[in-house]
Amino acid sequence: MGQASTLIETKTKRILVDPWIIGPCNGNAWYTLRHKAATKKNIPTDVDCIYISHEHEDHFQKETLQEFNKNTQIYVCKFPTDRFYNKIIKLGFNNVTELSPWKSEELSEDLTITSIKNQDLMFEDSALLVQSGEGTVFCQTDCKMDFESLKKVSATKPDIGFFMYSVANWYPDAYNYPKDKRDQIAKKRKANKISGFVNYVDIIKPKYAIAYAGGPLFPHKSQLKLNDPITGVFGCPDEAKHAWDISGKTGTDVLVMAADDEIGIDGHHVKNDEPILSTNKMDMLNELSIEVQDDLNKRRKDEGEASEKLPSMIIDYFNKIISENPIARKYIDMKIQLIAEGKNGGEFVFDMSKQNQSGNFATEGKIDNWNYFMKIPAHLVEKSINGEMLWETLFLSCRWQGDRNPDQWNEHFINLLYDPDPNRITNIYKMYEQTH
Amino acid sequence: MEIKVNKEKLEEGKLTEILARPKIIGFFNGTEYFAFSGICPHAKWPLELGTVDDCTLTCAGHSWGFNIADGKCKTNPGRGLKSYTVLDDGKDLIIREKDE
Repeated sequence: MGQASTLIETKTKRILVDPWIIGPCNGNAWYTLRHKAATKKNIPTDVDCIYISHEHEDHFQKETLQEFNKNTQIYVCKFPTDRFYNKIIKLGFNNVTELSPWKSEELSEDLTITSIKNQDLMFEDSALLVQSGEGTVFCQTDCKMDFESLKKVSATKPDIGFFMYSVANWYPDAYNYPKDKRDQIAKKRKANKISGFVNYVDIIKPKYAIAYAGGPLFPHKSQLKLNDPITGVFGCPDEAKHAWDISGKTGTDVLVMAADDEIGIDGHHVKNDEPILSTNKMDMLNELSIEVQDDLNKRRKDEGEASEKLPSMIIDYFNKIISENPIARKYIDMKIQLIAEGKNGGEFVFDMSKQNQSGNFATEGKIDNWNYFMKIPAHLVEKSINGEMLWETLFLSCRWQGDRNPDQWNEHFINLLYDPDPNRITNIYKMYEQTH
Repeated sequence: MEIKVNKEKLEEGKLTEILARPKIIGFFNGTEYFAFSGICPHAKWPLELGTVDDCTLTCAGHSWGFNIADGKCKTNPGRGLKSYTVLDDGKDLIIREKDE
């Protein structure tokens, strides 16, 4: 249906996975790979249940979910925290069930679904296995799976597998690299991700594999350059198929499907739309961009402005989450410069370096010796601080600029922003310190 | 811990498992021999499925990169591999813990 959204129909049930079908997501930036924006008519609201893999907006999108009856059965993975479950309840759904990982749930006499949790300590995500007398379907969504789980999925001999093939992240586009270096990083990252697709397919070896949950489109005119199929980090499904075809690996047919296409359990492919490929992407994107530009601009205008109290909110919020999590601070060990850009914004320093163990961790001001630099529209900072928008959603929007010194990923900082609950953080580092 | 491996077992340019438990992987780049733990700390993928370019081992699953000389993780600092000392006695390789 677009991105990871997949409608699975058996003789008895209709299961919808990760419904993001209409509108943009991730800070009014991402669109699904369709050459014409989907409308409410594209949403299959007459489903028996919905499985949602995790809370990122390209899998859990409120605008699409609002079209469903609030009594619809929703399944999610049982994660270490209740945060995702509670978010769905907050949307008004009253029939939400958490599935224990690898414990099959019977939907009808010969139909089960099995949730597969990722093994990452810090970030919650899951995949789905659907097994019936008619066949077996595997949906990776964008779950980064451990090897043992892949082997277990392989043992079920899936007929069809849906596999992620593209980067869906802000690196390197949000960072301040010279063009040559940025292009080099993007090329390598894209190639690595496509190689990962080939390896996943080769291990699970379904009869048919579909490249999905890949790169989105960025149709806003300020972000069009992110879509370039040559220099962009976001791939197209034909690139994944090509990589498989030239890999020399056998046993699986890799198919390119457009949103709204159908595939039977026997591999019969019904083409209902034209796929977006690396060869036609920019033409299709330009058409989409014209189509949705006014709407996107209106949505961005409707985001509003930052309030006058934002500077004090920033100081209070970061002082709280940093002071409450000394163990995270130990691993983060960075000085961070935040520029909240625009009305009611300002310049802020978060000192989480090892030398600073007490006092004010967050202050107003500017430093030159930052390790991490973020320039973010002030009103989006406010949305993240007050919980309207995940920090990752903001980052994924690519509507900000960053820089790093040294130029390296710091999972500990992103993890703190992901959910600063001290209990969660403490539990994570107990496990982390046992293995590192 | 010390293990002895016949040098012929390590084909140039190929990641090879040299011990199952604990899993240790060896690599010969044509000049030097390297040995390091063989399971990716991210999602437990076996590292012999990965590729080596210059001195970087890239895991086949999610592209975490490791320096084959010291095991340090290039893509996620602090999440490195255990790296072993490799001594070449002519016919065999002697693989030892680095702190021994």
